[in-house]
Amino acid sequence: MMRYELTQIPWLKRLLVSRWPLFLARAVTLAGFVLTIVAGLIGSPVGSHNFAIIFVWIAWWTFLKLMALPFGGRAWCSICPIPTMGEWIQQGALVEPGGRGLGLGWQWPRRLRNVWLPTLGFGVIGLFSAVTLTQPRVTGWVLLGFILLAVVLSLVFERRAFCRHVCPIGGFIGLYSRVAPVEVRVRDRAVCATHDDKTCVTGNAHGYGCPWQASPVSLTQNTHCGLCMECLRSCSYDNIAVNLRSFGADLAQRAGRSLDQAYFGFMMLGSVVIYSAVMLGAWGDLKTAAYNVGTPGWFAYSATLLAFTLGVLPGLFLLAVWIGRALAGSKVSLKKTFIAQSHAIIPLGLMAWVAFTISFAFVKFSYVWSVLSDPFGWGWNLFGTALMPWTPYLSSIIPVLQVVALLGGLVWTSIWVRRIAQEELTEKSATRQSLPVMLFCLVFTIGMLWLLIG
Amino acid sequence: MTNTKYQTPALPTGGLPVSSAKRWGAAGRWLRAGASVPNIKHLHCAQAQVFQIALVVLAIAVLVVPVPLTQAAPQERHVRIEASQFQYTPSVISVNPGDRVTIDLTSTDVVHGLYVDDYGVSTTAEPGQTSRLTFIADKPGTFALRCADPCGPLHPFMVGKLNVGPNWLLWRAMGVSGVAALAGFWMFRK
Repeated sequence: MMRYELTQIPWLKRLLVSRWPLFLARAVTLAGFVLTIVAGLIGSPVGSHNFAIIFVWIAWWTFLKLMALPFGGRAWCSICPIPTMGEWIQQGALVEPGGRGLGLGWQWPRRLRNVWLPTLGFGVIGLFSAVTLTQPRVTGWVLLGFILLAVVLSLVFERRAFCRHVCPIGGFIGLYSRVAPVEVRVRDRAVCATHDDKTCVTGNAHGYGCPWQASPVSLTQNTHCGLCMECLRSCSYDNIAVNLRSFGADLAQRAGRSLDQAYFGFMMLGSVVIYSAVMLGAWGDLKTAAYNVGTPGWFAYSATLLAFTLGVLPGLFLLAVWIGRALAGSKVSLKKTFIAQSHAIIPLGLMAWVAFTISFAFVKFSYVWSVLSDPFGWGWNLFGTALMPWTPYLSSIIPVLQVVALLGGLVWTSIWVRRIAQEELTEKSATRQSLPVMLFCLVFTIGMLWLLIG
Repeated sequence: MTNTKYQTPALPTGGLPVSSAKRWGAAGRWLRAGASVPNIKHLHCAQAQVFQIALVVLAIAVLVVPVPLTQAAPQERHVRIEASQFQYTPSVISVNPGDRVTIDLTSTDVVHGLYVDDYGVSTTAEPGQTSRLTFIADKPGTFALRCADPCGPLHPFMVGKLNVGPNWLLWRAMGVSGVAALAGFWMFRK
């Protein structure tokens, strides 16, 4: 696997080791976050005139999905404002280590050291998505709730327990960060083997122990690396590297494949189908059902969403894996094959989300200019852009971009379906094992094509 | 000197286990009998290259080869669309390329707009009123109809569809998806 060590570039390494750029970025995002919450709670109830809706669900979401996640993995997590205040309180310092922090420092419960909570959280977000995405006050309360929960968990549990084990967006980013072309890894494992202090885990005067409770020496994939660069600062032997690598490199790693991660993948895959149908489809009744919380229609929508994401989709995938396993005469257990193969569809899921995001990112982006001048929808015109009319950008090439994204995801996934099957089977058996899974991926892609450009 | 690397090996003979073959009936017998899936490693190098090139050519052909269909003569199309929170009724309208389309937009509740993606034309209807929009459907494809006037919380998602002729992009993309899956499957093995 080709890798280029970015930390070989002196100025870049200095930039990454310095605490100030990250502190400034976190301060800016925190300020923006506070403005978002305030705008959501006291600003105009009209979503398209409110900073909270436009900046969170159009600008930030687009940036995350089209830029930060595919190219930077967990880069957003390193500047995310949600855990910032809790972490500052926990560490008792804003920039340099050495403060006397607050907090009980409990260990996160062993039973919850997985992504089942984020999976559940993403499901719950999905149930209320039509309301959250359109009602500024709801967005404001949800974001406030997130920041309070992160602070409370920082005071009770050690390090970034919220980010690693609770945050649904963190789970989402962690899952797809495996395909990003950036990683933090140790240069030489032998050096770590002789280093008893493990300052990257325990911390020292130069840096905190890994806030994500990861041990860099055993890091084989990006899922639990928040790219905070603490290990780069705290390593006594200068043995940490930030690498540029090929896309999808983590998919070859067997370590870290688990049922909870697999299910989170299906939650994401199912959610993008449901969201596409509700938000981009021409079915008004479906939109109304998703929006009117508490009505029979909403309960039907909720049941459909949960059944589809947690039952139908994984069930169909399990069926495909079972058929493939029987065709291949594989002796590998069904559960192990299911888990391994489900990690091959990570690129498909990511590219489906990219295609979904493209459909509204450009069309709605012109709202950003008006809310910049009038964030609360109170009639201000700070930069003279408040009255800029809504203008859909690039609408003629959006369907083409979506096709490219979806087909790219299909090719990418088909490569990994086959490669993962070949880990345990001969080439011929791997082909048979993979064919039904590929059919599943093909049907999914055709379904998404129909929803997005049909 | 013989180049063993590129010698053509014996044809694959299937290899599906007997137990699995029985379980899968006709399909299993077919695979057992040796109707194995194409496998580049078993092909001669040149054959493999031909296979790869064929996939690329096939994908390009599916994407760009024009479909010989007789096109209906342009005509006047008069469509009445009812707008309400948060849908158009009918939600999908279909016309032929070149048709002169007149849309009468009526709103049944609040002010609604109708913007046709890529055509860049729009109209707005007051509650209980009808507004008219006329344009020549000279761009083939499928286009979103979007509410252009904030009409409530789900306004950003109030969409309909205009089909101008067959949606070739969709059909071609579906065709290419099969080729794309094959390409990824066979061309980039470990």
